[in-house]
Amino acid sequence: MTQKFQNEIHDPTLVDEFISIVSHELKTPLTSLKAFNQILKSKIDAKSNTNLSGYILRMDSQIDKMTDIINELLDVASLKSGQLSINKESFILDELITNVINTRQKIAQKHKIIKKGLTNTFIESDKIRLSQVLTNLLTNAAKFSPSGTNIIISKKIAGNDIIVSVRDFGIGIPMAKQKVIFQRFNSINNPKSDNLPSMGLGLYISNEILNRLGGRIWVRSSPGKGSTFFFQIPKVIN
Amino acid sequence: MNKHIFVIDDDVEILEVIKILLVEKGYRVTLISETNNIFEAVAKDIPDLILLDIWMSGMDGIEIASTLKSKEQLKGVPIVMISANNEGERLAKEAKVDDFLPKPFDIDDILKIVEKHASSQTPA
Repeated sequence: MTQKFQNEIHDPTLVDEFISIVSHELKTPLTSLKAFNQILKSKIDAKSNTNLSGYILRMDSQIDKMTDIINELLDVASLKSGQLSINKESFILDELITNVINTRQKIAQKHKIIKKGLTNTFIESDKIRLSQVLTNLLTNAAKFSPSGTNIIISKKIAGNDIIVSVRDFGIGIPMAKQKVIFQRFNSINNPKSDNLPSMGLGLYISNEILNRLGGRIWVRSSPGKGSTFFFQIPKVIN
Repeated sequence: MNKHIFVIDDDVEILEVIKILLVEKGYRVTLISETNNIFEAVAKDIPDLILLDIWMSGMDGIEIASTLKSKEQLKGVPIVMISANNEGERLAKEAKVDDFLPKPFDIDDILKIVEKHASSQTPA
């Protein structure tokens, strides 16, 4: 099925139709499902119904997982058809980093997120795409490290470039795997995670986005000690 | 007086769940699921906030936003776009609406965004 999808995805008309159908027909029912599920949770007394509250939280987490998978497939479809647009605007990168952290409240509840080197650096790049990359790196860091551990997000200026890193203290990535994680469908499965296995598309999408922004991504990791993902982008994209 | 929220979406389940959430918080809610009577309905009972899905069958949400924004009597009424489209945030920016909420959303997020824009609205 994947091969068939990859073969047919070169036709832009089919891609448009695919994106439209997947977005609307799959994410629309997930929207009401998620909202009704959260209403149900709000009506249950968490103290007297510990099991029920726990089941609902797990349903919510699986809805999020399914949403992430759909979003990743849509991004890959856009990338393959050349429709992933890049739009330059001027913004403060540090504010974007803080906003991404604030919108990932579930991560912040389980990990201590430490920000380093944040100032007020104006850059000209694609805000939405960079937000997507940061979200992916932050989500991965949380997913592959134990609750209660730190996640460190650092930013530094290197001439006309900016380097951002996201460090976790989790399971790490074996050396052989480090070479392929930015390719499609190469996920790192965490045996201790209660989530479904990842599609292995997040880092591939991040890599492709950064290429389009004139940047690059790389990783340093030691199994059992954790991973640090770095990305470098020009302050001003062409 | 209760703040009045207009919700425009072609999915009745989503309309229902948003209504449940907002009515419980004391908002007055009008639901619209078809594009043919949007402008008359909004003009007849001007809301404090419009929640608008980008993809409506029959008419594009961006076109609806642009028409709503161009009407003199609706100037100052905030529009929040809601969309399942991966490009939704960019489309919302292009449509120059006041905010954007991706689908699926957390109920806390939709309540926060409604509170922010409905309470900031000043009567014309």
